[in-house]
Amino acid sequence: MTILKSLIYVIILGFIFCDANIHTQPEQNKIENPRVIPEHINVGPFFKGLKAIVNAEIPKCAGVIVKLIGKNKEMVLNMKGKKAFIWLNVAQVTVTNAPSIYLLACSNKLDELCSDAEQEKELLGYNSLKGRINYESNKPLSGIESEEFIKFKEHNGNYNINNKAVIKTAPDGKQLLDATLEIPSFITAENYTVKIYCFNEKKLIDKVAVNLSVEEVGLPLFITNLAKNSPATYGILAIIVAMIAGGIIGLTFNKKRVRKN
Amino acid sequence: MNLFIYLPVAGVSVSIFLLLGLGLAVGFLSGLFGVGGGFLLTPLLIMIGIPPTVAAASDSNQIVAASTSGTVAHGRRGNVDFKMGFYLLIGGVIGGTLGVQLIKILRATGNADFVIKLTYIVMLGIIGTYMFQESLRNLKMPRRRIKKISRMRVSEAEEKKPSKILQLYRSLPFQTHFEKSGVTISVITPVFLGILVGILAAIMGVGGGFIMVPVMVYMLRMPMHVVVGTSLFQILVTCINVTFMQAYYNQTVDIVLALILLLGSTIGAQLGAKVSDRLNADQMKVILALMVLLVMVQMVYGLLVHPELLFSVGGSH
Repeated sequence: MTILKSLIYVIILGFIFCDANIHTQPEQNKIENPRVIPEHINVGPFFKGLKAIVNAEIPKCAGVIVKLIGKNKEMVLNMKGKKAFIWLNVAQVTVTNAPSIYLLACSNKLDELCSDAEQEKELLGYNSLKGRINYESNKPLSGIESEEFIKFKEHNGNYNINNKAVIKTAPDGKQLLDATLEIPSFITAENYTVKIYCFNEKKLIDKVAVNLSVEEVGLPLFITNLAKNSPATYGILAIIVAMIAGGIIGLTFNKKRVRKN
Repeated sequence: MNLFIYLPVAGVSVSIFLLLGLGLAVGFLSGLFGVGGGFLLTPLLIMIGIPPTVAAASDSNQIVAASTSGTVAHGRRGNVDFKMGFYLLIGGVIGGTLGVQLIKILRATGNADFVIKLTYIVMLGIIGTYMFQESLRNLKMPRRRIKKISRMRVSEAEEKKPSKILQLYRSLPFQTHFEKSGVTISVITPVFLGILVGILAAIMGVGGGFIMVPVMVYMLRMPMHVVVGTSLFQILVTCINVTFMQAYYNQTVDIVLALILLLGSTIGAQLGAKVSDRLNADQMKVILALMVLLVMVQMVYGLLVHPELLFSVGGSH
């Protein structure tokens, strides 16, 4: 009986020990406490874009990538081409399946961090984007659209890849992520997802998502709503304000002139 | 310290001082020459990152303020020929409507961009060169001689056979005297010229001030100071219409952007009007001609050199 009891205790202890191992082992490969600072952006009258800091406790890995991606937006663009010896708009191209904003912060070069297949799957880097964006035109396309579109978006600040993701070691030995995303002033008010990826030997160890909300407040919100919901009132208001301002300044200058004379 | 302001419709943040400076510079030109400045300010706004459609629409809104200010200033000095401006406006509205239809046809055939660019270069080239040559010739000549020659020309013209254009002007019905401008012509002339300018303005996508000014000076023979005031009055009415249409149909008027620009431009317009009183007409024409030629050269350069970006935002020409 005593032997049987001892056996049961051993089995129970074994289970407890194994269970603890099951719980602690995967946690070593997990990204913990991810957060974006600030997690809520208010777009007010003096908003000029900001640097969002992404922090997390990360497992030991070769490198990290932080990604902020906006919703897909259709765009109609003019494309220039050479006719005879002059550069003109030769086609109108409709671009679909392209994210409105695409920001990436990496700790190392993208190709050193993850395989092509992983890049493709997780939409990491411009090459993965190029394959997904569609171009349609009434004129035959020349094949340089992908390259030119990325160049166009980078030039406007909508797309950016930087190396501002840094891995630090805390005094207690924990690995900490500190990444910076440059949020442009023209970010659309909507909810975004910031994703953190950890890679080791070009394989994905873990990924987590954090929410980032952008909202217009105060005067910008009032003006946007008025312009969209009551365009006639807004148009008349814009004219009246302009005429009053112009008239007042015109009369003020004229009075000064009369006094001088 | 640089203070940034968020433009809600444009969706971008720009330095207030940069916008004020742009407004001041363009308003100054507006007051000096009676041109709206749209052909200068819109490309500058695009250059600093404002979306093209918002730049064009908000520019029209700020021109409403600048031209109100300019019209008030010139009107108080008796430099606005409202009667002539009214007939030019009728023509401008008809011409603008025709021009928009013409652009639609050209777009369908795929030649719109070529025609627009070519029209710009030809118009700017002709106007700029003609104004520059004539004004420079007058500046070089002593004043007495100019008066003598112009008197001689008038008497010669009266004695000899009048030119075909003058004959045509005189033979047209509905002859009216325009007191402020000091000319007697048929109302058909300003309406017809207004139509031509309206078509060109619609094709080129501008208010038409810089075409209308030379038309009034050289074809309607109006005095330069009345031309400036009348042109501003005409621009005011045109831009009120454009602002409302853009706000109503496209929601592209950014009132914050327009307000900052107009603050600079209205003050600039007053300063411009003051300077225009001190300069003589030929000096003003030389400066305007040089500006027009500079814009033309920049356009030709843009057509010949490989652009940095092949894509640009569509929807406007």
